Order: sequence, then structure tokens, then C-alpha cells
Amino acid sequence: MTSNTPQSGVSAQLEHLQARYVGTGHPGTTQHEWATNQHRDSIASYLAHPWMLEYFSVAEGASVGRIKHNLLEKMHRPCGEPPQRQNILKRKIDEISKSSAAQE
Amino acid sequence: MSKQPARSDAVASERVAFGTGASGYDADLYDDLGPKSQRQGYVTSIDPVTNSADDQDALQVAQQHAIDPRSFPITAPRHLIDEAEAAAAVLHTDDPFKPYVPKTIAEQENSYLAGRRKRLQTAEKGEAAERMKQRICEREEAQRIQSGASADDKGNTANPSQSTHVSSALNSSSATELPKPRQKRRRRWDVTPEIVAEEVQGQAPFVAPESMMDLAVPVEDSLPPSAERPPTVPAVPVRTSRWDAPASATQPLSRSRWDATPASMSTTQGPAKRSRWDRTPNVQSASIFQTPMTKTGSAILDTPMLGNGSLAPELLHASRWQADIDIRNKPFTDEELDRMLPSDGYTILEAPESYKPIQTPARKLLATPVMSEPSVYVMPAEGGMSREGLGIPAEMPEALRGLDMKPEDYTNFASILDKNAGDDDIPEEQRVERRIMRLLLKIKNGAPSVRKVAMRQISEKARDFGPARLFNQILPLLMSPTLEHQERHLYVKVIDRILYKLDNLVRPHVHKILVVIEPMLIDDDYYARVEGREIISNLAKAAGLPTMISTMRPDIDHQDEFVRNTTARAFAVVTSALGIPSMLKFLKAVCRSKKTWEARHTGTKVVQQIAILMGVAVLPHLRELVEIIEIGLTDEQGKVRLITAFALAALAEASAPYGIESFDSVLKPLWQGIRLHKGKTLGAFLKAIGFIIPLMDPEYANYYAREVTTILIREFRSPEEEMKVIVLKVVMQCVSCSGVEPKYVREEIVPEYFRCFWIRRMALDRRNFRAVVDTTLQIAIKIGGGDVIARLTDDLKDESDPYRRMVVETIEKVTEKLGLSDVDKGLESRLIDGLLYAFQAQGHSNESGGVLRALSIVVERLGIRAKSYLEQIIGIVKWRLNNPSTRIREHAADLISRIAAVMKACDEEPLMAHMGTVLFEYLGEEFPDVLGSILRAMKAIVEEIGIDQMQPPVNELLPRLTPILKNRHEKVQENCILVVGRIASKGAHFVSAKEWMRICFELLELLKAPRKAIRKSAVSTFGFIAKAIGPSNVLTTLLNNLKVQERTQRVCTTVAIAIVAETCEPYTVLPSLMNEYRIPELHVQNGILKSLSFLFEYIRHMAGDYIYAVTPILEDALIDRDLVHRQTACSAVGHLALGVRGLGAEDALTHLLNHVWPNIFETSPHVINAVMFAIQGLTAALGPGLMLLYVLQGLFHPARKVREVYWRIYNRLYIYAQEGLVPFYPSMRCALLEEDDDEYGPERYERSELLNII
Repeated sequence: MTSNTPQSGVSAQLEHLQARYVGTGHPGTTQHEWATNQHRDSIASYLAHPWMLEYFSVAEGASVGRIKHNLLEKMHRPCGEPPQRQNILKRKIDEISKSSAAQE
Repeated sequence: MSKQPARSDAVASERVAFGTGASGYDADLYDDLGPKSQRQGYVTSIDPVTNSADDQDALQVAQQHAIDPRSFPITAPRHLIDEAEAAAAVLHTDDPFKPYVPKTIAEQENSYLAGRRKRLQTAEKGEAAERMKQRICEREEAQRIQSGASADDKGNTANPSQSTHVSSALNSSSATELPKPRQKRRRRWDVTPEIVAEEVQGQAPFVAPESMMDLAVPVEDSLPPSAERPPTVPAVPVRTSRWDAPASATQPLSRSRWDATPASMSTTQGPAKRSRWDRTPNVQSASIFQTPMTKTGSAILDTPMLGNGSLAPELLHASRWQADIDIRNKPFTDEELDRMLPSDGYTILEAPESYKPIQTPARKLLATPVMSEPSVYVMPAEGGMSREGLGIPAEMPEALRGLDMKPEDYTNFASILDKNAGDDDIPEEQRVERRIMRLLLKIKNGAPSVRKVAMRQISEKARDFGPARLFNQILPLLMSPTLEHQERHLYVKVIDRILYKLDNLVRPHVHKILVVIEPMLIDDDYYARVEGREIISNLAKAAGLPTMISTMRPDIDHQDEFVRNTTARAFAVVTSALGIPSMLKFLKAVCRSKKTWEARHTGTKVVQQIAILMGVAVLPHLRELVEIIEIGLTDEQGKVRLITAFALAALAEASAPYGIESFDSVLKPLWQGIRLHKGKTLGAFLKAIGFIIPLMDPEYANYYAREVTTILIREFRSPEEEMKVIVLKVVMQCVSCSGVEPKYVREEIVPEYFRCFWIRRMALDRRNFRAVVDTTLQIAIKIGGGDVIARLTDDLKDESDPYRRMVVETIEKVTEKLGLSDVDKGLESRLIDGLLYAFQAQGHSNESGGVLRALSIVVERLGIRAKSYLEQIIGIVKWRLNNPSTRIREHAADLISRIAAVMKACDEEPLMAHMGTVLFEYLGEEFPDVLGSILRAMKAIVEEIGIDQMQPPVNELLPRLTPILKNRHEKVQENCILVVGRIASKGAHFVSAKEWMRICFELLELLKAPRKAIRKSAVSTFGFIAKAIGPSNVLTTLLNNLKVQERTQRVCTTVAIAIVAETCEPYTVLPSLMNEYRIPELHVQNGILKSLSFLFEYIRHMAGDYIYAVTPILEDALIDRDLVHRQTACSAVGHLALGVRGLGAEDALTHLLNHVWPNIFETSPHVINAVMFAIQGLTAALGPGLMLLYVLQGLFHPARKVREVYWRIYNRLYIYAQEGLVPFYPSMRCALLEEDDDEYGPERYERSELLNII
């Protein structure tokens, strides 16, 4: 993704390094992927803060353990299966971007 | 093998082989028989001895002359070779670049290491079992020779190397006829006609026996070749008897070579018109340029050279040179003379009757050579004769163009360098070989990128190429005498890579690889050893333990010590790769071997090497290892006992301080051993005990140390160097044991120790020197420093310089470690006296400052007690500051800087002030090292005495220092600026502002000094000065300085501005800066922005008060058309944001962010880096949430280019604050493009938990 932009060595390396983390994105990232990452980050954050869990348990009227369990269950596919037409959409996006680039 | 070795065997001692391996016979005349292995039929009929014996003999020749026998089929008389070598030596004596030329490995190795070449020969002898058998034969033979060599009726001189080949002969041919063929050296006359014919026609061996030269027999074809020569028939009968005489007596088979001549002569009378006698005698050149000239199709190129042992580099060089000279000096031919001289007015004279052409072969040999190409001087075509003549192809093949070639490469890689040799018409086998060779050449000579590709190819294709072909090419190259370290490294890397790929396919080649790699284990070069280890351990992992053991087992009792040594080391490496437990059984078997002591010796050595290599990792198996070798302590063979003791020492050293219980079983034999043995063995036993004692409990250690001391003291007097070192080591170890009492050491060991080891002779050898110093230090730690110093002090006045140095170094170490509290008044004065004597007596040239260090440490440790000696010391220093030797002056000044603190402690201020004046007078010193030391001493005095008391007064001192700041020497610069800085910080008011201004300008230069220490002190000094004289003056000059052209100058100025701002508060600087920005000049504005950037970086949080003031200027810069404006402004914003973070300036920062943000689409690397930096700085100051709002706008922008940039920023943000973003992620309900997905509702991406919070 960085190959076609002129970048100095250090920042290119830095970006390469960043790209290896889960959760970082690139121009081809779909909204589903991005949203999934958001959800996972959020759940991880809730799980890491006990007072958040307590708050949820009060609000939902369930035990902390139950809330925890539900959240953990949700970690896998928090936003459901990826949309089937993803590829078509992607292509659509690319087409649009190409045409817009051509117009520019 | 082939016939060349056979021939060189025949001429064994008086001449050497020469030339290239491929040109042994003429491929045109004798069908190309392909690789050497197929040519074997040649020799057997002639040579009654087996091939392997031939090998051995050829080998001897090769070793005598350090040349690979297979490569040099052309032979020449010994004296000619010597001459050539001498010429080469002369050529090279005055080469001023000699030390810088990278040395080949062959040049560096010693004779022992060179033994590896010998091994390569034997390596090809076949499989393990066969070699095993051979060993047995060798052994028997050796025993036989030992027992009954004298009784041998043939008077066979059975030297060891001969006996090897004899026994190998015995192996394959019948044993009865074995001694006979070797008794007499075969003479060249013994060879059969076929060979002779071949020799004559082929361009091969030019054999000229010494006997022939002496005789001056007319040779029929000795006329100059240009002259008409009747086809004479040689007068055979006259000479046959003569030549036959010696041969016929012993060998009925032999015939004179002249018998064969007529036939061959007739062929040479053909169009070539050249007999072999016409050939140049210049053997050196022959090997190189003969090939292209004979036009028989480059013989070199035809056969891939496996041996490739070309000439030694000097010889090669000499021959190249010689070839060049010969081409220039060749005689004119008739045609050339015709062309040069007018045809009329000249007559061609007959040669007078009395003229006889040179007939003495010896002289003829030295006559000028004749070239095949008759020509006057012709302008050489580009890359023509000279390159071609040296065997260098005029044009490189397409694929290899651009490689950097060494001369030797042209022979080593000849077959692929011929441009015309296409790959299409050669068999598959050869094509693959060439491919490998091409890859190797690229790896060796290519640029890194080329090399990388080739390396990847060769390792990916390794399995396709097959191990045989790969190793057949690489291993000979590794043995090449012209190999350099870098090349070896690369080849080793190749082997490393392909080993991974080949895995178990390498099994059949393990021995071949080992033979080449093992010698690297004992290389002098550390990296070579490491590489060797790495390869062998990879090999072991690839081939597996059984293969490794069965391959190396035969070498364990090899006759040659070199082989056993390397094998033992290789076994240790294999053990470290595959684990000790798997080897234990094998080692046990080897160490108990009944057959030969060599096997036991090697087995024990393996254990020793394991201990050295693996260190403390031997601990879990210590008991087993000790049990395996303990039997060797009582072996009947002395060498085995010796190595066993060494192995025990290594094990104890490796496992220290644990594992004493494992050594229980060997204590007794060791103790008995030291009473029984003498000499070397005793030394080894003592060493083992010396390493075991520190492992013991204190009381045992005490007991055993006392036991061993009696022997040690006896051995103090041993004249052997080795023993001395060991004894010293053992004494050190015994003394350092906590169980040994000081009283015992003082009374029993010390007197004898000092008598025997503190003698002048011990100081001469470096190793002894070190050992004595360390041991004495250890003794001093045990018995107290005062005792030792008392014993040594008088020796400070010894007349031997090295001995004095040893004393001084010991005193220094003891004082440093133990102090001088137990030294009484009398000793103290003697010590100072002695040290001063040594200080004055030290040599002028080779002094490394040892006495200086010792003296300063002693004075330092004496502290206030040194008061009474200071006068004396200063007197000497003053005296020595006048010395003509720079080193002595330097040391004198250094001494002052080291003892200044003590002088202060002793209340000797007047003395110090006096020294200050003295030093001041020496500021005119012209040697930079001395000047630097004087300045350092000055600094020490200023520091100790204080600015106010300083003599000479500061206002006199500083003007003297200003010009010195211009000095470019680092030591001077550093010390000078330190003095100036000290004055500026403490006593700036003593000096006028004008003087400080002048110094400011000098300092600007120093801001770009390469040494960080100098830059640092320059920066701080600058700050002090600005503070002292007020910022306004300095600033005006600095701002003016921004207008200069030179970039470094401007950069330094901006740094200086930042420093001033920091020390004098920003409000003194910022107004003028912003005012200056109004000048509509690019340089100035950029300079201002740059200084702002530096300034914000420098003053950090102090910028908080000024951010609203500077926002307009930054705003202006960020919307400027000029790229550099925006770039610099961005970095200023970044630093500003980082500085004011948390100070409540978010509004201004957001405003700046709005100006920075449009720049994210910049493509220039500097600009985009600055922009990204600004964004990161602002992220830190404003928080990730705000930044996310900016980023969200473009993450799913239809244009990919836009998305690219935004995702890049998002990634940075995400890595910076992953969790911090969680509260800020937007609601995704309406953000969807795929809302028509029916399975999930529009709620799909909503984070429903957050609804709870609302």
C-alpha cells in the first residue's frame, strides 16, 4: 500500500511495522472489517475495566459473570458473517474511485 | 589418477610442475577424454605403482613447492622457478600498498594449517570402510618400519609420507612387489614412447633435465625458428647409449625418449613449424599465455578445472608481468624487417660460417621467446592482446557483465567466461555445472543485489542441482590458494544455505565437506572458526549422528596429527549440535580403544573440546565425561595422559564453581601423577589440579593446596616456559581459594615466589609478564598490599626497562585494588621516590603512560599524606615540561591534571596557582596532543582552585584561549572549550563583553564539531556567555548570521538562537525573531522558522506562555506557497504541541491543526514527514478522539489515493492509542453502503452495549 507513494525509508518501515498489527487497516479495508475491529477493541476494553462490567450488569440486570461471558462470546464475529457481496461492493468502490481519479 | 601426477612424480625433487590442469595433453590430437576420472587408462600401463601412490608422490612435490600438482603439467628446472620467485619477490618488495592489499588465506596460514591441502587429496579416496582399512594398513606399515626399517636391504628411506603411500599401495596391489618401484626415483627417461610423443606434441611439460644442460650436446633443432631449417633426423645412436645407460641398468622397460622423437618431429615439421624446443622457456608466462597462442582452442577453457590451484599470487603477478615484457621484446621476423627497412640499399647477409647458433640447451632456454604472430608494433585493439594474452576473454558473456573480476577468476571460472561457448551444444550435465558456476561467480563477485538473487537461486534449486555437482564446484574453490576472507565467507554461506535445502541428501558428501571445513576450526581468524562451527553443526543436523560418526571414525586414529586435531574439534561441534548424551557411548568406546593410542588421544581431545566449546553446559553430564576420560590418566602412552589432564582442566574450568563431586574419582590418580611425572605431563597434571582446587570446599582446598604447593615450589625453578605459565596459574588459583590462610601463603609461598618469578627475564615475554602481574595481584589480595609493595619498591630503580614496567604495573594494580593504608611512612617515601625515578627513567618512545597512571593512582590514594612529596613532584613536572620529547611533556601535563584534586586536599593553593602561571606560559605549545594535555591540566586547576584565586587572572587567561579555539585538533578543542565554559559560567564578569562576543563567533564554528562532547560543551558555553553579556548583542549578530549562504552556518546559528532563548527566557528572543520574519526573503524566513522549531524543541513547556503570540506567524507559514515554509512550520508546530501539551492551549492547537491538515496529501518525503510529525504531536496534545474525527472523513473516500493517506494516519493513531479510540468510534447505523443485506438489520454494526450508558 505504501509502494506507490514516495516515502522516506524510516516512515515506510514504520508503516510496514504498523501494518503487522491486528486492527490496522489499508485502503482496501471494508467497513465490515473495520467495524469488527472496533467491536473487538471495545469488548476488550470493557473486559479490562471491571467497573465497566459492573455498570453493564446493573443496567442489564445480569450477573457480572454472565456479562463477561456474553462479551467473550461476542468476540468471535461481533458483526456477524462478512457480507457476501463484499467483493462486488469492493469492485464498485474501485470503479467509482477510478472514475473519480480519471475525472481529476 | 591422471598422468600428470605420474610425470611430476618422475621429476620429483629437481623440478616442479607448472601450468594449468587442463593443458596436460593436446585435446585436438588426443581425443578429448572428458573429465579426469575417465582418463585413468593412461597411466596404468606405464606406471608400475598404483595411482594412489602416484598421488602421494605428486603430493610431496606439491608440498615442497606449495603448488597443486594437478594444475601444472609444464615443468621446468628448479632454478628457473626459483629465479621467477625471486623476481616476483623483487617486484613486490617495494610495494607501498602491500599492507593494505587484502591477504589471501593461503598467505596468512602457517605451515600447520597448510596441512589442510594435503588432506584434500586423501579425501577423495573413497568410503569410510575403505579408509578404515587403509588406516589399518598404514598402522601396520608404520609399525613394520619402526621395527625393521634399518634392516631393509634396499636402503629404502622410509620417511613417514612415503610410508603412507607405500601402505596404500599395499592396499590395492600385491604386497610383495611393493618396495621395489619406489626405491629409485623414476627418471623421465623411463617413460614410454607414447607419453613422450604426447609430450612433444601437446603443449605440455617442458622437461629439461639438469644433466642435459651440463652436457652441451648439440641439439639438432636448435636453430632459430625463423631460419630455414632442414628436417634433420636426430642422431639417435650417439645419444641413446648415453641416456639409456642409467635407465637400462635398473629398468629394462625404459627407453630413451629420443626413440620416439623422429615420429613426433615429422609432425612438428608441419605448418606449425614449431617444435617444442622453440617454445618459450619462460615457464611463468607459459602457463598463462600459451593457451590462447597455440590456437588449439583454448585448452584452459575446455576442461573445468577442479584443482584450480593456480599459482601463488606473486608468481601469477610476475608471470603476467613477464608475459607483457616478452611480447615487447620478441625479435623481429624477416617480414617485419622487410616492412620496416627500405628494400634498396640494404642487402641481406648470410650468417658467417663461424656463427653457431646457441646450442647449449641451458642458454637456449633463456633465449628470447618466439611468438607465433609475426608483427611489428600494431596498435593493440581495445582489450586485445594484453587481455587475451593473459587468458582474459575480451568480452564477458551477457549474463556476467558488470562483475568485478579478480585475475584468478579467469582461470577458476574459465568455462563460463568464454562468450562463444553457448550452452546449447553441450550435454545436460555440463550445462548444469556451468549454471552452478555462474551462480557462484555472481555470489562471489556480484553487487549485493546480484548476490542476493544468485544466493536465493542456488539455495532454491539446490535439490535439483544435486549435492554432488554443487560440492564438486564449491569445495575446490574453497581450497583455492588465492582465496580471500570475504570469498570464503560467501562460499561458506552458500554451503550453509544449501545444507538446509539438501538435508539428508548430503550424506554421501559429508566427508568431502568435512575435509574442507574442518581446518577452519583451527583458523587464526575468529570468524572463520565460528563459520566453520556453524557449517559443521548444520551438517550434523542435516546428515544425522550415525552418518557423522561413521564418516569421521576413520580419522580418529589417522596418522597425521593435523587430521586428528581437526577431527576432534569437529566431533566437539557435532556434540554441541546434537547433544552430549547421544555421543557418550561413542566417546566411551573411543577412549577405551585398545587398538591405537591415537584413538584414545583423539577421544579425550574431543571431551576437552566439548568442555571448551560448551562451557557450563557440560555440567549435567560432568560425571559421565570424567568417567570416560579418567582411564587416560594412567595410560601407557604419555600423550594420552597429557591430553587427559588437559581435558580434566578444561572440564573443571567449564563447570566452575560446581561439580567437584564428579572429580572425586580422578583426584587420586592426579595426586599420584604429580609425584610420578616430570616435564610436560607434570605441567598438565598441575594445571588440572589448579582448576579443580577452586571447586573444592575451603578446608579441602586448603589441604590440597598445601599438598600441591611443595611440588609447585619445586617447579618454580623449572626452565620451561610452558611450565612457568602453568605454575603461575596454579599458584593464583591456590592463593585465591578462601580456605588457604594468608599466613601460610606469606611464609611458604611468597619468599620462593618472589625469588623465582620477580626476575628480569620474566618481564621479557608478554605472556609471562601478564601471568606474573596477575598472580602477584592475587597474592597481594591474600596477604595485603603493603607486603607486596614493600618487596617490589626497591625494584622500581632497576635498570631493566621491561622489568621496571612490570613492577610499576603491579604496584598500580595493587594500589588501585587495596589502597595504601597499610604502607608506613618509610615505605611511602621509598615508593614515591622509586616511582619518580621510574617516571623519569621511562623510555622516550615506547611509553604508554603506565608509570604516569601508577604515580597518579599512588598520589591519589595517599591523599593528604602526599603533602610532603608534592613539592618534589611539581619540581619534576616543571622540569619535564621543558623536555624536547613531546610525549614527556604530555605526560607531565597529564600528571598535573590527575593530582590537582590531591593538591587541593593538601591545601597547596599557592603551589597550584604557581602551576597555573607555569602552564599559562606553555600555552604556546605547538604539538596538539601536548597542548590538549596542558589545557586539561589548566582546567583541573581552575576547577579546584576556583575562578577568583586563579593565577594568572582570568582576564589575562581568556584572551590567550580565544585563538586556541580555532585549533582544529579534537583534544585541544574539547579541553579549551571546557576551560572557557568553566570561566564563562563562574567568572564571566572578569572579562569584557567584547571579548565574549569574539568568543561567541568562535563557538558558532564549534557547534558543528563532529564530536558530541565538543558540541555539548560549546552549546552550554554559548548559553553562559549569552547570560553573562545579555541576549541583545548576541542576538543581533545571530540574526544577521541567518542571512549567510552556507547552510551549516545557518543551522548552527539557529541552534545558538534556541540556546539563547532557553538561557535568557524566550521573551528576549521571540520579538526580534518575529520581527525578522517580516523580511520578505526566503532564506531569512526559513531560518526564522527553523529557529522557532529548534527553540520550541529546546524550551519545551516554556512555550506555553507564548503560543498565542506565535500562532499568527505559524499560520502564515502554513499557508505559504513555498513548500519548505510549510515543512518547517509543521515541525515547529509538532514541537510546540509536544511542549505545551496539558497546558490548556487546545484552542490554539486546534487552530494550527486546521492549517496543518490540508498538507497531508503532500508527496515530497521531507514535507510529508514533517506533516506526519506535526499530526502526531498534535495527537499527543489534543487526544486521539479529536484526531479520529478528522481521520474518519476520508477512511472510506471513493478515491483510493485519498483512502491511502487517511488509513496511514489512522494506523498511526490506532497504534498510538488503540484503547483511547474506543469511546470515540462513531455510530455506524447510517454509515453503511450494504444496507440491503437482509440477514442482519441496520443494527448490525451498532455497538449496542453503549446504549446502556446513555
